[in-house]
Amino acid sequence: MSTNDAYSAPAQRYLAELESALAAAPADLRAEVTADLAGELHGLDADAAAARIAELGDPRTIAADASAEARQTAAQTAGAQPADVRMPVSKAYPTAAAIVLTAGWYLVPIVGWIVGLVMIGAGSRWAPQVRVASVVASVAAALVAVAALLVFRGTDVWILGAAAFAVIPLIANIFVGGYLRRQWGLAAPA
Amino acid sequence: MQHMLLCMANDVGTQLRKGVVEYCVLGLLQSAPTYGWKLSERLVSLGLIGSIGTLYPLLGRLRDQGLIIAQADTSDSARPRKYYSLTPDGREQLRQFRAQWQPFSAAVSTIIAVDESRSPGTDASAIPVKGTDS
Repeated sequence: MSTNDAYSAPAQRYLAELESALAAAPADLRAEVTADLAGELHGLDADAAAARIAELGDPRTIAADASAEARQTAAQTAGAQPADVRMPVSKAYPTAAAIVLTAGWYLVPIVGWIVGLVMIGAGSRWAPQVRVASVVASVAAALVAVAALLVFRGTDVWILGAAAFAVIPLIANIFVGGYLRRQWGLAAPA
Repeated sequence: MQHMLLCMANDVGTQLRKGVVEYCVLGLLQSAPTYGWKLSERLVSLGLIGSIGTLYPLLGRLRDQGLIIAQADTSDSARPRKYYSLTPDGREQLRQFRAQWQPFSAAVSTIIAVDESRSPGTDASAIPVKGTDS
């Protein structure tokens, strides 16, 4: 494509147009189409190249057809995946887990919160690292809250410890719950 | 309205082609290995694809499925071309399609054939329809 005698002026122009028309197409498809059509125009003089170009048609049409067909390939590949991967994912479970985790701490002390942790561990639509990070964050917040309560106990500012004990798990678990809801279904089931 | 019908007709054509163009490519390759441009020339002239652009992803799909293989032919040094040929799997796939296609197209043709007995002028009551005759 670099030497002028291998490609006539119309051929060079056509291949350049084709290349830019295919700018948005997948790289391997772009390479295949341009290489193949460059081969067709290789060594033809201006008249012969113009005739071949007329038969090939508008480079934008070729690019549009190639992209449309490639999308169909992609759709077929996606269609081969298990149905549950493509289905819209219900957020009911992560919402329930977030509520149990957050409200459980207060409504059924310790036990409700532990149920929330178990729900996180059992959620198959979270990536393992999402589950670990959520449990670690929630447990860390609980430890900080308990520590605050113990450290300030019996001092003048015991009320600070009590407030931290009440508020830190709430804030942490609200954040963890939001994170869990966003992450739900993003990873393939384990 | 006419425009809508036209779009629908186009869409039917597109839907029909989608299912069979791949087998037409297999059919074109059954006698001899062929290169892309030659395949596209045939398919475009028969109205089976719009342009050569459609052909490349389609060939890629057939290759990924192991139905065809691509080989570089360097005998013409001025124009080294990629020739596609059928694999044994491709041959088998084509055989299966051929066996299905004939009865399928015959069945569809029978069903959608213009019904002479219902055309205007002939007596519609020749075939009584339940509930309409009082």
